[in-house]
Amino acid sequence: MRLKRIQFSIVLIVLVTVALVVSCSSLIQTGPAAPAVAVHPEADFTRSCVECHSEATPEITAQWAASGHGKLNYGCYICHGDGEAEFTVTPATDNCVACHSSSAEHLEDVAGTGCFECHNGHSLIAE
Amino acid sequence: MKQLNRREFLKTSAAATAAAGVGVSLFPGMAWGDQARDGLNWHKSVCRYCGVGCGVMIGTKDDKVVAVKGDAENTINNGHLCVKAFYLPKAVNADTRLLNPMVRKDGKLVETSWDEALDVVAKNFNKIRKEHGPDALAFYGSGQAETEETYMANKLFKGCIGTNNVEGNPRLCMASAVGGYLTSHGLDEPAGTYEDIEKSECFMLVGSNTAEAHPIIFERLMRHKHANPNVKIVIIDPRKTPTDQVADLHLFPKPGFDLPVFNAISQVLIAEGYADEAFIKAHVGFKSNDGKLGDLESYKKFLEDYTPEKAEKISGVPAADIVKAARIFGKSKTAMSMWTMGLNQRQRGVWSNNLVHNWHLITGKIGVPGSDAFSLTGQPNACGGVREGGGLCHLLPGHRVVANEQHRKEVAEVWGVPAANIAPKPGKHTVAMFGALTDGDIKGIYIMCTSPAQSLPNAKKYWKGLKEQFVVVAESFYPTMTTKYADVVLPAAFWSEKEGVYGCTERRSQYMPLTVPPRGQARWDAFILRDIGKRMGFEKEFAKYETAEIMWDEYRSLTAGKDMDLMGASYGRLKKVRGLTWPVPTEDHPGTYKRYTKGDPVFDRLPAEKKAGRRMYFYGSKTNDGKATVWMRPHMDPAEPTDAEYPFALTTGRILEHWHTLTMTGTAPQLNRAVPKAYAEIHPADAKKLGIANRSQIVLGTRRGEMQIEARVIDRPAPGTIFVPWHWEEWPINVLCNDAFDPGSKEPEYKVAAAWVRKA
Repeated sequence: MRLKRIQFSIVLIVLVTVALVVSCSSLIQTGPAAPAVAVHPEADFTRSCVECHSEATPEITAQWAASGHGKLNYGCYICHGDGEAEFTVTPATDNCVACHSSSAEHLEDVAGTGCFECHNGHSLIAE
Repeated sequence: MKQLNRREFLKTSAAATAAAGVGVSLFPGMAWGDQARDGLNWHKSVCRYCGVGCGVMIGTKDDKVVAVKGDAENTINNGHLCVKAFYLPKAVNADTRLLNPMVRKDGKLVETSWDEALDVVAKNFNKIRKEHGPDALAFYGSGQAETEETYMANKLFKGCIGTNNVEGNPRLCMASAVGGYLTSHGLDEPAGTYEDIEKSECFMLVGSNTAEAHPIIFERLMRHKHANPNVKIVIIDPRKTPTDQVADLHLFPKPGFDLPVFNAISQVLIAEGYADEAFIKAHVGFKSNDGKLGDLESYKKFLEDYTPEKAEKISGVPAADIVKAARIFGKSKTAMSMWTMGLNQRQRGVWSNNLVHNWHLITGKIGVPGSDAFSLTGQPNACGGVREGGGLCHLLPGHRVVANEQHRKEVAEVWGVPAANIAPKPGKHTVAMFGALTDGDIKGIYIMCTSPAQSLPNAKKYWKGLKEQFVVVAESFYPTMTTKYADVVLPAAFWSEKEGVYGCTERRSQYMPLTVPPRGQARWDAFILRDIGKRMGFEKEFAKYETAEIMWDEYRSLTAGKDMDLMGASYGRLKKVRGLTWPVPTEDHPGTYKRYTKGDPVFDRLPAEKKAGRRMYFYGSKTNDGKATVWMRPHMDPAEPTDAEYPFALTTGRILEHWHTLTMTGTAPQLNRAVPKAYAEIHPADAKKLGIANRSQIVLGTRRGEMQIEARVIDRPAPGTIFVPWHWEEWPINVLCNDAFDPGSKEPEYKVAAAWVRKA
């Protein structure tokens, strides 16, 4: 189980890094680059995200559980997709704005280019 | 850093996302690579799901719904969405949308033309009517239908065909709340609105898993408590739920044994001096259970039998907790009670509602900001379309009843039909209606926007009737458990593909625009009903309904001068504003925050002498004295108490991620991943006794059958209680539910069934 967790974490870190690099570099591009498709590590997809991740990534799950999303039980899928049909590592800002449309002005106020510039991805606390 | 304006920001973030290209689409309904949001048209609308009535903006492009976002200008949700609403575009664009009419031929449903499908319906309905009379036909609608749709059904069946066999699924969820309001306040629907939430010091959440069933209301509660830590929240529910995160106190009565707890809270409120005797004197009357007039003294005498200690013996709730709950309510300057199916879906649902109303009436915690007895509605237009629109077997539009001759005359005149067409006797309520279908007394039924084959309690009992009689199903999705039995299936336009009005929990009516053409050959339900009417021979009666606005205007003309006056809520106005809370009698009226008090146009019109010395006047009072009623309702066991053979109480309900029979939420892989299948929650102590491990298979049985299902061993249900969410066709738990119903509201007791459990 421990090995599986480490493997999972490594894959996740690589994916996050790739996504962030591609995402940041895109800000200075004039046109879209070729999409890099992220793939969720193999998992038992008959289980819910939270059920599995409370074992695989307990720290992250705990951060999420204490967050506004966790308190409302808005699960991993709302930002990361279902893991099979759709999967992302770093959710698009527009996804956030869809449910937090009243925060669009706030984004302008802080001149941010994305919610996760300030907000931790799982605790959602502004750092 | 360079300051970005909104447009630049959005363009930048869209580019970043396209380049990152790591999966989740910007907009849940959009195809991959189609994520540019420039060029989208945004339309102000209302969420398709629960009764909260959240404002949503629908994003369309090239006649397709591609996005949804919260409407930041709507004060109900302030731009926020719950997880179900976020994925609405997936439901609109789902492969499971029904696109063509179908008629059963040689035992199989085959695609056909609208012309043939409508002819089959009209000819069969006319044949049944001619051979067996109008009461051999029935309509079964939905709290998700628009007001205009239910209005057309009402006119066709009650006004033209001549049967009051008109029902809808709100009978299964809200009828007891209606009965509670009518008997306690004299008129249906709450006195206050959501505006009370942020003004209240205390909340009693009774039989309500607000966090999952009404998430945006829960979010408002959570924010309010976070900002005001002195706010107290008491939960009364046999099950611990995510709502408990905000609870200061949780009372766990045995399912079906909470009435003594409610009475005991009243007993403590009076005994410890929290009653407002001046308010009672001016505003409240008392009635014993058989309807005889009483007074405060006889009420006190009645309550002597409901001490916290006695309530503990019956309910299992510690007496000390009952006292604590009463003190929290009594000490708070303002208090809101909110409830839903835990009170309503009960053999004594109306009584349960009455007993919660009593707390507010004896303490005067009603009619002032922050205080109200506020029923949360389950479906988006159960209030607007069915309760207000008269879509049940005893009702007519505008809070009228079929039994009242004057009401029948008023409605018949507007409908342009002889008053004699509308029968004075109520039709068959839902359980009786499907019973009559099974017995063969009803031979043809039109089912719109709901799936009773899955949702009815003791559902299997009624499949025979659906199989044997002539069944028409108008639906947006295919297949459902009900379309399996249909002789004709009609593709209905879905949310966003039609215009109309939804009226939510807080008396707010909101307009929804047509944003894209209906998919395939789908048509708007109201037009389908109109055209069936014409083909049945009621050409003249349905000639004028060319637009939704004509239907709405005719309907609201029936509300003029009524307690639920909508004359100020024209389409023109509703298109501009984020809904209006009735009564709203004129185009310049802002809508009403509090009923029965100053600011309510009906109250304001009352003669001064009636209002002298009182701050509220319950103008629907049956005793004609403007007084609300405190009822002395005794305890009564549920229809199926547990026993040695059936030692568990089975209770069912919703979860956050899914809705009813999964036709909509089942189209979002994300929501399916979150909760992929049904499960049975069982307390660890019970699981240990039975040797049941978490995620193992168990068999669950009631007097109506048994089902294999996965166990979730968790300390949410109280020991002795089993909870199963009801959404999945593969685990149709309602088959095991009891169809015993409240004798007043006729709402079935979904919330309590005696059950046994064993390892599979």
